[in-house]
Amino acid sequence: MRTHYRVVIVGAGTGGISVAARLLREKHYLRGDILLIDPATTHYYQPLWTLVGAGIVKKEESARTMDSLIPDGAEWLQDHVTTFDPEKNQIETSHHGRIQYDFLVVSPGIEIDWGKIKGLQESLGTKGVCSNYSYEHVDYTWDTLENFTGGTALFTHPASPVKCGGAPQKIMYLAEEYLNKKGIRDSSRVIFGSANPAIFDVTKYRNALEKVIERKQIETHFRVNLTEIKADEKIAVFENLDSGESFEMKYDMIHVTPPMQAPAFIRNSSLADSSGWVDVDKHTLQHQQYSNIFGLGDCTNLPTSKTGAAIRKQAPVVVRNVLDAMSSHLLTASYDGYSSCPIVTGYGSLILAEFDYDKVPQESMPFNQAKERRSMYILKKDFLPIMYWNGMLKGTM
Amino acid sequence: MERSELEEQTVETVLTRPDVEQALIALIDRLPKIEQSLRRLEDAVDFGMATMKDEAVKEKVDAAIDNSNIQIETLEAAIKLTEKLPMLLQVTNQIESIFTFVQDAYHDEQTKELIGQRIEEYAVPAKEKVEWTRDMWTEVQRRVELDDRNITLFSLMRWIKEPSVQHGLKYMQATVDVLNERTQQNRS
Repeated sequence: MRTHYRVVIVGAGTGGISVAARLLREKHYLRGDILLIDPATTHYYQPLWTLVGAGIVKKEESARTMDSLIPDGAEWLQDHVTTFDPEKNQIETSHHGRIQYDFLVVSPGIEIDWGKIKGLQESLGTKGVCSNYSYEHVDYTWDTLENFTGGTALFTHPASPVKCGGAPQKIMYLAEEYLNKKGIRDSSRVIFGSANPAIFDVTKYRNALEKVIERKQIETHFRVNLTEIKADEKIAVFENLDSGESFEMKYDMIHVTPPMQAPAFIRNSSLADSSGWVDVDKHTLQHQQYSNIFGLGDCTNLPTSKTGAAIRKQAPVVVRNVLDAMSSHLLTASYDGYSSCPIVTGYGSLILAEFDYDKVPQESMPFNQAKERRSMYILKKDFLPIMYWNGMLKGTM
Repeated sequence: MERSELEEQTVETVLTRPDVEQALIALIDRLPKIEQSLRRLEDAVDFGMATMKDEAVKEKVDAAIDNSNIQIETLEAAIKLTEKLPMLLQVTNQIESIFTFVQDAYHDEQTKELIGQRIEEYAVPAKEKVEWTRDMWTEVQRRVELDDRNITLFSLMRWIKEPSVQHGLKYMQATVDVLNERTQQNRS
């Protein structure tokens, strides 16, 4: 097996594949000189899981085999990276030893820490405990909703960065509408327990979402963090992040957004900052210490929302700057922190939030995107998956 | 002008520096190649000048220009097009991306299946509604053709009690009320 590549990309998720495809489109001479390393055999379009949990689409639509997505001209090594040795420009893998690179792109995504909430791992997928953040259990959210006969429906958001920060509330809005359709809304309480101080960071969309919450009569508890689930008793234990006190809440169904962190092999490496995320410059996406290493996506310490839409804007910046660095030029591309969150507010309505590092809206459409719209719902449900599979992963969008 | 003692010392200091010494050795080593390159350049310049002086060649070039459609406007257009090349490149790149995306989606069986499913999702309810309306009209037409009764005042009174007729009449009444109110407001 070859032990040296011009470009090695750690992670064949959204970021890794997009960068590989774009590099190959830009420079044909890189054919055969790009290696993607990822142990997974299936690639998921996770934004669909909210809709799966609400019974709108089938979960199989969100999965494709990894080998069908690896760009022509790139090689895929199905293995785990164990350690980085940036001083020697090499990485260590579980089964294929050391691999050397000229340039390294780090994009392995984010790790879900199911074990951090006591009682979650063993009860997930049973006794009304559900989470759209697991492909295995995402259908259980829909099963639970279908079988819900009234009571307390509890939705949580943890005290850690999460992939797609809007997802914890999207499923709540959909569930509320479903309970309404079933005629059991009056006998139900819908509660949102979030570690965040408000429903959304960006003022424009926060104002719009507060109206949605008021209309749907959802009870909100901010600055609270789920710490334990007593599944047999159907009790959730929260910690008040301001007072430090614990309190319990009874539920009949609970949708948990689990805590997340950078993958262990990143956290324990010299590429990480003190919080464990890949330490990159927020504009050039170049590593703060190693000039031939770049990072993008959920694993980085970029101070923006961790979404696929953010990666769509980060990938061209990484590609341009890697090519500049290859030619010993100054890095020319800059990322402005763009991120987007299509917040589904019901079966057929959506607020398309788009913003930058400064939390200033950066809207793509010629109309007010803080308004709930059916057109934006159709965009998310029907068009974004096609744009993802056939545009973004092919390096054209 | 003679160099001062200080300058002499400086030159000597520079020449004895190891990196300068290395560079000089490398330069001297490459002198034959540099000389060869200069000769080739000289030959090329001589050839160019000789060609330009050759009357036969000049006549051929003149004839070629005279027989072509190249005019001063052509040259101006070429310059303007060159000016626009960066923008044209941008547009071409965008068109290429869209073309590649469409081509990829067209050849992707899973995407085609997905599009088919989505079209069906939207088309089926619309189709059902069209069919429902068509069936209703067919039935209405059939009944009209079969009905040989005369519409009497009594049947009109019975007809007026129908909920759907009442609903329509309420709309008409509300419209008349609103129209009256607006007309009076405009007059005053």
